[in-house]
Amino acid sequence: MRRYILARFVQALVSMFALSLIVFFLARLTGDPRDVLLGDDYSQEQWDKMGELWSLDEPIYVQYAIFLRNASTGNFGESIFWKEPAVEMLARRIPATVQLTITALSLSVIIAIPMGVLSAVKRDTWIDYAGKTIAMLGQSVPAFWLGIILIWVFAVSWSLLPTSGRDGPLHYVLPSVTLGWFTVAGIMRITRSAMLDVLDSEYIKLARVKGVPENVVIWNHALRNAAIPVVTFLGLILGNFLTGFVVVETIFSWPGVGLLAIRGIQSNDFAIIQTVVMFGGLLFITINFLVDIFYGYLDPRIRYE
Amino acid sequence: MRTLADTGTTTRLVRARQVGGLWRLFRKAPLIPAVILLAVVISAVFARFLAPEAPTFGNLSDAFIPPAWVEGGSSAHLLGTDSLGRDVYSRIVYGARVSLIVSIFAIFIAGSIGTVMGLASGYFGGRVDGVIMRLVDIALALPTILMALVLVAVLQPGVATVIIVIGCLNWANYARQIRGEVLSVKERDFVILARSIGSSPARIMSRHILPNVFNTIIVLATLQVGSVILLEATLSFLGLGVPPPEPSWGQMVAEGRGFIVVAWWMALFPGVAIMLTVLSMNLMGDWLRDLLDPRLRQI
Repeated sequence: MRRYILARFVQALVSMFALSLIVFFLARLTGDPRDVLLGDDYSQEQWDKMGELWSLDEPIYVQYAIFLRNASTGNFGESIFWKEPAVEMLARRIPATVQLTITALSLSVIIAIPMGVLSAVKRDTWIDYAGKTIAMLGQSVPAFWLGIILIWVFAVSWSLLPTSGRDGPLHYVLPSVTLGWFTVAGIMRITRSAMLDVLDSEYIKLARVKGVPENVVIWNHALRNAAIPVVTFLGLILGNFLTGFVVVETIFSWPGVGLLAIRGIQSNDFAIIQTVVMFGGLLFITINFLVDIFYGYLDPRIRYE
Repeated sequence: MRTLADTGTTTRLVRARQVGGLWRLFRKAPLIPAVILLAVVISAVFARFLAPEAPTFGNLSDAFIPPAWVEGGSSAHLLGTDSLGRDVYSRIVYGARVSLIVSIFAIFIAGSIGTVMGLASGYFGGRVDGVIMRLVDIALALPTILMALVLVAVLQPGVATVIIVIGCLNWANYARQIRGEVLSVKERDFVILARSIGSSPARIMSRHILPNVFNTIIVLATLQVGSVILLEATLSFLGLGVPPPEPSWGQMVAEGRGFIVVAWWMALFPGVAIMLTVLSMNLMGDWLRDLLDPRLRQI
């Protein structure tokens, strides 16, 4: 197990290293990185200061080492637009994004797991078909469009919910539904197939033969064992939420990390972009690493791959 | 004599059964998705003849005309007009072109890189395999949207950039899948034979192995079209994709967002177009996978 963890850890480090290389070289691909970093409007003083900060007179590998050293202390430079360290701007926006993640993920779990279980238990009935239809739509409805249509129906036409911002519990409803919608389909499919596997096993038959009530068999015996792949999948989904944040926060003007990334792009603020990308990548790679470890812990066969 | 006649009957029976089997499979081809996709392709190719107006032509005095069946609508603008007086239906028809061009080229790039990598990795094994598989791990570990953010920040936004971004971010799945296939194909007799008569690795890979993994490539590519169209639409929606005034479905939804109160049709119809196309493509992909390569079902 220790060897397995170590191997995965090295792999995660290599991925992070590759990400830093890509970010570093892309900014320099087009010539002087100050053209990207400083945007269109800058003074000679800023130009020189930036050159000093990133040691642009040094050879490229020294520059990269300096970039890594700055990065490890969270220093990705100052936002040109807001004149603030980019990493502080990011830190301020993390809570909003985390709160949105928690509500969206809880919402999709509450909807998707019972639906997946029912789909498996009532296989090939209308419930199963309804579940399949929802799963199919979940893969084809664009989140950005769904968000706008929800605003139109619930916020504009019926005036039930606010259109944007983050001022109270009601503000969480539409963004969470939009962000969670996409994951409902995935969680439901995994739950359904895991339940189908488990329901076919000997101990479930035994429980039934013993006369355990059907409800208890399904929701207690079976679901508990089907939970393993579902939990693993939840970890992976968390990583895929990154795309969702950018889209959902843009639509609902949610003051989180995703909106910061888009503002960075719009104002050509590369300090912001590289900060968001490096931190997002770190998060994504860490989650994948933890999921791998969890998976190896649950299923010994994987460790010896 | 009798044996021969028997064989003949059996063969015919077998053939009939096979034909019957094929017919059953084709009968199961999803009709509605096929028709929708055909319509999308025809729109993209014959946009000029199907669209009543040029996609960038707008007359401000015609702005915000609702769809034809809504009160105040005009039969000249079936799906209404947008804030600049451009015909929404015409823009959707032309938008099909962008979606198709981006997905075809992006998948071609991703598929080509992935196939070459997968072939090399599976065929040579050893160190080559190790390096390529690490590259695959890294590519799969990098979040797509963040990479797209960086690339778009550095390159100029446009159709070509979108194609490059999507193409370069999606090759890893092909490589991994094809490598697995190659590992089994390269042990087959005809490959061993080809090697023993001195064929070069390049020739063995392209002549003997590639045709045998082609089904996998086709199935992976079809399964991917839906998500690529969705990704293009998302990037264009965020302003990272196809820049205006060129019509793209995602960008049309973005433009309609600000006018959802006064002109809901601006955002609604392009979104429906995306949804129907992606849904149909996914259904067709599932069907093709079951037909050509059922082993890929777990993906």
